[in-house]
This record gives sequence, C-alpha cells and structure tokens, in this order.
Amino acid sequence: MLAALDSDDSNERAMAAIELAANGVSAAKPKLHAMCGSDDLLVAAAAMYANWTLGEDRVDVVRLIKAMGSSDESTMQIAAHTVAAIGEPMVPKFSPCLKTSPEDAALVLRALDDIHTSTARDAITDWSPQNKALQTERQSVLDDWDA
Amino acid sequence: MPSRTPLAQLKAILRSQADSDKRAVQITALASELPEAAIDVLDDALAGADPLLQVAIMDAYFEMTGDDFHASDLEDLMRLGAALGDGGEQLYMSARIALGRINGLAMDSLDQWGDGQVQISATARRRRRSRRRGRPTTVREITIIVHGTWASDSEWWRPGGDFFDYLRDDLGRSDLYGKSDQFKWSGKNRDRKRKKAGSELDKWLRAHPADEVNVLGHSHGANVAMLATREGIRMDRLIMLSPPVRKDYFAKWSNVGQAYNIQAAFDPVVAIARGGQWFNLPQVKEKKMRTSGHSASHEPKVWRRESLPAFVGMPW
Repeated sequence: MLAALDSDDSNERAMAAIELAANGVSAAKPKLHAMCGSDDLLVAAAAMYANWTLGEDRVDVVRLIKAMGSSDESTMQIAAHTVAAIGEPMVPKFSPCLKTSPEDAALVLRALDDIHTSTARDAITDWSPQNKALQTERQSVLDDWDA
Repeated sequence: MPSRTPLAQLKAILRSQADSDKRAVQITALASELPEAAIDVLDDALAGADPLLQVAIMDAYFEMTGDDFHASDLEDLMRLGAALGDGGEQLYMSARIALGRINGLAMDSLDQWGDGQVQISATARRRRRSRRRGRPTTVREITIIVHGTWASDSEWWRPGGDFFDYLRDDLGRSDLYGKSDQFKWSGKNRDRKRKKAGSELDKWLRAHPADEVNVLGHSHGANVAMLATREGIRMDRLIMLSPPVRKDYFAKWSNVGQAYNIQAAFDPVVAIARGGQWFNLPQVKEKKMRTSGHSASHEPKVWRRESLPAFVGMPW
C-alpha cells in the first residue's frame, strides 16, 4: 500500500493516501506531507485529508478551494469530502474566503453548508454578499438549513 | 436505371424463390431502412413463410416497431430448431439471436438454457395477455439517470450531456427520460438529504408510471435509488455506477429485478465517502473496471472500452 503512493495513476495514489490514513499508518506521513504540494490537485486534496486524519494540519485553503472548483469530478469530490470530513475546524479557515471572488465564495458557501455546524451557519449569516446570485444562493442555503 | 426503394426490395425478396437463409439475411439487413408501410407487408408474409424466414420477418418487425409480441413465437421456433438437431441449428441460432434482441437477455444468459428454453420477459407476457383480451398493446418503459453528490447542475446526465446522449442514441434507449421535469435532487452531502431524495424519487417514479423501470444511479445517486425501493417503487433494472456501498442504504431487494454494480479500478471518492466498493450479494452482479476515477462509470468511451452494455444485458 505504501508503494501505491508512488503510482503513476493519480487515482491510485489518492486512494492509497486515504486508505493508509484510515488505517493509521504513520509511516506514510513523510510521503503524504510531500503529496500535499503535488501539482495534481486530486493527489494534493487527498493528501491533505490523509494528513489531517493522521493528526497533521497540512490544509492549504487556496489549493483546496481550487480543487473544489475543478472540472474533474474526482478532484472536486475529494476536495468537498475532505472539507466535510475535517468539519468544524475548517470554518475559521474558510470564512475569510467568502470575501474573495464570487466563484470562490460560491464554493466556500457550499463547503460551509456541507460542514453544517452552528459556527458554519453563523459564518454564512454574518456574510453579506454584494453579488445577486450569491445573495440568492446564500438565502437558499439558510432556508434549507432551517427546513 | 433507378434503384429500388427498400419497400420494393422487401417485396421482391419475399416473392423470390431463393434459399430461405439468403432471404433471411437480406430482410435483416434491410430492416433499419424500411418505411412504416412495410409493417403490413411483413405481417402478411409471416403466415406463409418457412420457419427461418419467419424469424427474419419477426426480427425486422421488432426492429421497426419495438413491438415484442412475437417473443413467444420465436421461443417456439427456437425449440423447433433444437428438436430438429443438426439440421435445425441455423433456425435455433437465428431465433435465439432475435429473441435475445427482443427480450434484452445477454447471449451468455441464454447459454444457461441448454435445453432450448428461454425466459420470456414479463413485458412480453403481459402484452400477449393484453392482446388476447383486446387491450392496447403498448408497453411503457422508462429509463432514468440519478446523479450523485454535488452533481445536480452537471451536464453529463441531461439531454445534450455525453452520457445521456450515449444511452439514448448509441444504446437505443429512446425511453430515456429527458423532459424539463427530469428527476434531480439537492446533491447535498448529508445522509438526511439522500433519504429525502429517495422518497422524492419514489414519488417521481409513481408520477411517471411505466411497465418497465430502469434506473442508472451514479455515486450516491445509486444509494438514492436504492432508498427509493424501500418506499415501495419497483425497479426492473438498477445499474449502480461507482456507488459508495453502505449497508444502511441497501435496497429492498424484492423490489429490484436485477441489480448491477460497476466500480473503477481505483476510486478515491468511494474510499473517502467511507463506503466499500462491493456488495458481495447474490442479488447484485458486480464488475471491477480496468479504468480508474470516480466519473469513469458514466463516460461513454469507458462504457465502450469496458463492454459495459453487454455486462448490463443490453439491448434490453
């Protein structure tokens, strides 16, 4: 399984990272640390999740948001699941990013909705987007939260 | 000299004194070009045709109309071919192939029926009963796609999307539902939302009734489909594409005709979603692809490369 972290198949690398972390294999940490800096966002996002699971905060918020906006379904899903799996600790990391570009804000809004804690709700409530589409989306999230 | 129309060619073939096997091949080759007027010609020719020609006529009839009411007649011809021994092998194989097209059974399924028996689809049986009672014979089929997490706005499962168009145009699923009220759910990554979507899917299918229901669900969309069966809706075919397999989402299997699970070689999304890849249940036919990636199971080029239509028994 450790050898799979060096695979040419990025899906295999990502899957190995997740499974090694799920099995608590600390020996994987050095390679997982390095994978967080991979140009391949799928691998990087999976490595961030794996490191977090093994007790290491290697989350790069900017790259994680970029992965969440990827057109590659696996990359997008891995990033989204990473955020959801880490949960509450992601809220203070993500909240400032609501004020960046509308595209990033939409992704962060979705991530906070996914985290779905009271702190995440507060972050959304405290945010006042200027963009009309974001205002609509924000209200939709809040309405659904209360439903 | 102008070439003859397909209808004129058909009439000439039926009048001809050439060998039946040659004429059968000609009719089958012509079937996709025949106009609607040929339906009556085929019907009239059936009574006077020898068995091999009857198979070709019924196959052409099915090609043109999608009408499978000759399924039991083909079954009879297949038995006749089996009974005739070596001399009837061509009849047996021709009837078997035509029946396979009509019933949507994969050829290796027919192989199980060594004594020449074949399982006629419930659809064909219902229609035969309807014809005897003089009721309308149209069988309603519906095929739908259920998207997964965060894919409610994705293109691939909608008209114009690559997988939708592939199922409809390349695989011939003209019953693939693509109207403006096409089923979609929130796609939110929460258990409560998936369960709500299961109820919504049950309601949606009841509002779009059909004699035969086929559902293809990707990722948690497959779990949504399984949850819907717990509400009572029946699915004749449930094709699960890269689902994160979790016992708490298992279907009410008595409401599923045949289930299929197609998984990528390596799928980190299934891993991170805390699902397994395999059911290991007799109710579910499973396949591990050589291709990796979570979206592979809904990519047309992967479906072609991995022979997935044959795996799920298409044509249905």
